[in-house]
Amino acid sequence: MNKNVKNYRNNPDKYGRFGDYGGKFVSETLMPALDELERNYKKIKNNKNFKAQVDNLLKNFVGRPTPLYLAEKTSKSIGGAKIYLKREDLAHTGAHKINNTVGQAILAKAMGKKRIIAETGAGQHGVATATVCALLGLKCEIYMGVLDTYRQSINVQKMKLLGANVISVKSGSQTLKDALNEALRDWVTNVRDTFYIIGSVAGPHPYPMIVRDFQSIIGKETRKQILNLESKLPDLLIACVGGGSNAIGLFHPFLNDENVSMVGVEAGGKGLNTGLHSASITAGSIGVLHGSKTYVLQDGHGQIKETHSVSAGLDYPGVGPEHSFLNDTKRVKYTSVNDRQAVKALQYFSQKEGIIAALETSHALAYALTSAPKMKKNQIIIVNLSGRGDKDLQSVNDFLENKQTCR
Amino acid sequence: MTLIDTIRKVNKEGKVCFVAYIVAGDPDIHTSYKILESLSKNRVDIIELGIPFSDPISDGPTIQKASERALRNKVNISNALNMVKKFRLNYKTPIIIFGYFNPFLQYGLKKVMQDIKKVGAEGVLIVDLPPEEAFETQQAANHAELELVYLLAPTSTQERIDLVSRLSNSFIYLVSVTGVTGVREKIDKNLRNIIAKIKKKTKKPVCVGFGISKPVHVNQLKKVCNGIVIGSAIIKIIEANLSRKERIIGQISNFVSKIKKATFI
Repeated sequence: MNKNVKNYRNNPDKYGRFGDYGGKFVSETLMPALDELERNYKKIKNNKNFKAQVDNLLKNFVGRPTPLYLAEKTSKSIGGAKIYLKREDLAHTGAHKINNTVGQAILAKAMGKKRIIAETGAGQHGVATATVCALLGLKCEIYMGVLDTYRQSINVQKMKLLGANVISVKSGSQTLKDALNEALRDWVTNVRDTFYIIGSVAGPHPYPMIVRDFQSIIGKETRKQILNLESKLPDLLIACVGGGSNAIGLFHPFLNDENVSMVGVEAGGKGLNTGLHSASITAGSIGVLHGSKTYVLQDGHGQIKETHSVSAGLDYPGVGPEHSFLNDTKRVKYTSVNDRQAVKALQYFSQKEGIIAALETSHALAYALTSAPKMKKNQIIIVNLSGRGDKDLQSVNDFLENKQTCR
Repeated sequence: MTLIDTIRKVNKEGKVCFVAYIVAGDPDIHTSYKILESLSKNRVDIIELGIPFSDPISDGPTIQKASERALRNKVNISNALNMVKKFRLNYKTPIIIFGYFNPFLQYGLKKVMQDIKKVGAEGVLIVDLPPEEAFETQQAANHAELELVYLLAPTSTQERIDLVSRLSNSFIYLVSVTGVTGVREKIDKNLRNIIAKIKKKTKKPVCVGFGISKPVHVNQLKKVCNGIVIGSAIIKIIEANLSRKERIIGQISNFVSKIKKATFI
C-alpha cells in the first residue's frame, strides 16, 4: 500500500473506538458480558472450524456469493455511469441481514448460550435471526416496535412461523430505537444465558466491529466480481444507511482504495427542514446512544428525538460509530434522500429492471439515479441492493394513497 | 457533608444508610419539590435525584414512566438543579444527581459538574458510564470537588471490582440483581457473597440498590452493607396517585418512616 494512503481499515482500537466514536457506554452489569463476547470472538474468528462452519452456511444455506448484476436498461435510459447492483436481495430471507446472524448465532452456540434475543425494525434482521435460530436449534425472542409490527406485518408472520416469539414494544416511539432499548433491558436481566444478536453496526463495542466483520463479505465478493467483470475497481459505491450495516459491509473492503468514492444515503423522511427524518449524520450532532458515541438526533438537552422514515429499517436516531468516523475523516460522503424520492426509485427499478427493492435500499437507488447521469460512460457505480421489497407493499400503497389524498 | 462521611456517620449511629431515589419533575415540578422536602423531613439520609432521559435502558417500567412524565413537564438538568438550589436553602440532606450520560455530555462535562457543585449537591452517578469511559467525567468531577459514584453488579469480575475500588472517590453502588430497576419480591441470596468480595478489596462503603422495596428487605441487608437505595417503591406511590396528587406526600412520608424504622441495626 502507498505510504501516503491513510489506513481506514484498522479500527476500532482496543477501547472499541473509531477515532473518538464508539466505546462502551453501558451499565456495569453488561460490561463483563461485552468483555466475554470480545474475548470469545477474538479467539474464534480465525479458528478453522468456525470459519468452515460459517462459510458452509453462507454458501449452501444463504446462497452466497450473491450476484453482481449490471442494470443495463437503467444505465441505457438515464445515461452516464454503468450501474451495477450487488444482489443481497437474493440472499436467503431476502436481505443482507443473514450474513451477520449466521456468524453471530454460530458464535453464540460456541459460547454455550441457548437463548437468542434480537431487535428488529423492518423485520429483516428479526427474520434472519429467527431463521438461523430455527436452523441451529436456539430459542429465539425478537423485540419489535408496535408501529413496525403493523407496517411490516409479513415479517412478523414469518418470524412466528419460524418459531420465534415476537415481543411488541409499546414504549417511546414504538419503532427500532425502542425495540433496541427493550432488547438491552432483556439482555441486562438474562445476560448469563442469553446472547444478544445486534443487527446493525450500532451498540457498544464489540458489536460494531463484529457485525462489520460478518457483513464485509458483501464488499469482499463485490471487489472480486467487479475485477472479473470490468478489470478495474468501481468509481462510486452507494448504500443506504440506517444503523449502517449493509453500507459498512460493502464499503469496508474498499476503504483503502483511494480512487473509490463512497456515499451513504440516510433517510430524509419528509425533508430535513421538517424535523421528520432519520438523517443522523447529515442533520444530527454528536452524542451517546445505545452504548456508543456517535451522531444522533437529539434536542438541546440531550434527549433523543423521535424519527421518521417511510422505511422502518432506516427509522433510527443513531448510526454506527464507524460511519461517524468515516464522515469526519471525509472518507465517505453522507447525504439523504426523502420518502418520495425513495418510493419513486422503488417504482422505477420495479418497472425498469424487474426488481422490487426494499424501501431502505430504494434510498440508495434514488441517489444512483441522480448521480449516474452526471458521471462518464466509462465509470462504474455499484449500489448495494441490500434487500427485497415484498415486505413493503403495504407501506408503499399507504404512501401513494396518502399522497393522492394530499393533492 | 460528603456522601462517604454521611454514610459512615449514619453507620456509627447504628443504622444502615437510607438513600431514596426520585425523578426530578415527577409527577410535576411543584409536587416533586414537595417530595424532596418530605424525604428530608422524614430523615432519609441521602437523596438521589434523577434527571429524566428519553431512553432509560437501565430502568424498569416504573421509572421509565416517571421519566416520561418528567419529560412531558420539560424537565432538564437546569431546572432539576434549580430544585436543588432552592432545597439547599433550608435542608442539609446530601444529594446525588443521577442520570444517563448523554444529557450530561450535551450540557458540557466541566460545566455540568461545576453547576452541580454550585447548587449544593454532593455527588453524581451516571448509570451508563463505566470507569473505562469515565476519564473526562472523573476529571471534571474532581475539579469541581464532587464525588462520582461507580456501580458494581452481580456479574462484576474480580478484575472489575479492583478497578472500581481503585478509581472511586465515593461509595460503591452495588446493583442487587442482574436486571433493570423495579420492585421485586425477594433479595438475591448470592448478594452477601458479592458484598463480601467487595469488602475484601476496599474500605469504601457499599450501598445496595435495585429491587429493594420493603422493610423486610432492609432487615436482610442492613448487617452486610452500609446503605440501601429505594426508588421504584417510592415512585409507585406517585404513579398510584396521579389523579389525586394531594395524597402523595402523606403516603410517601408513611412509607419512608416505615423503611427508616427498619434501618436501625
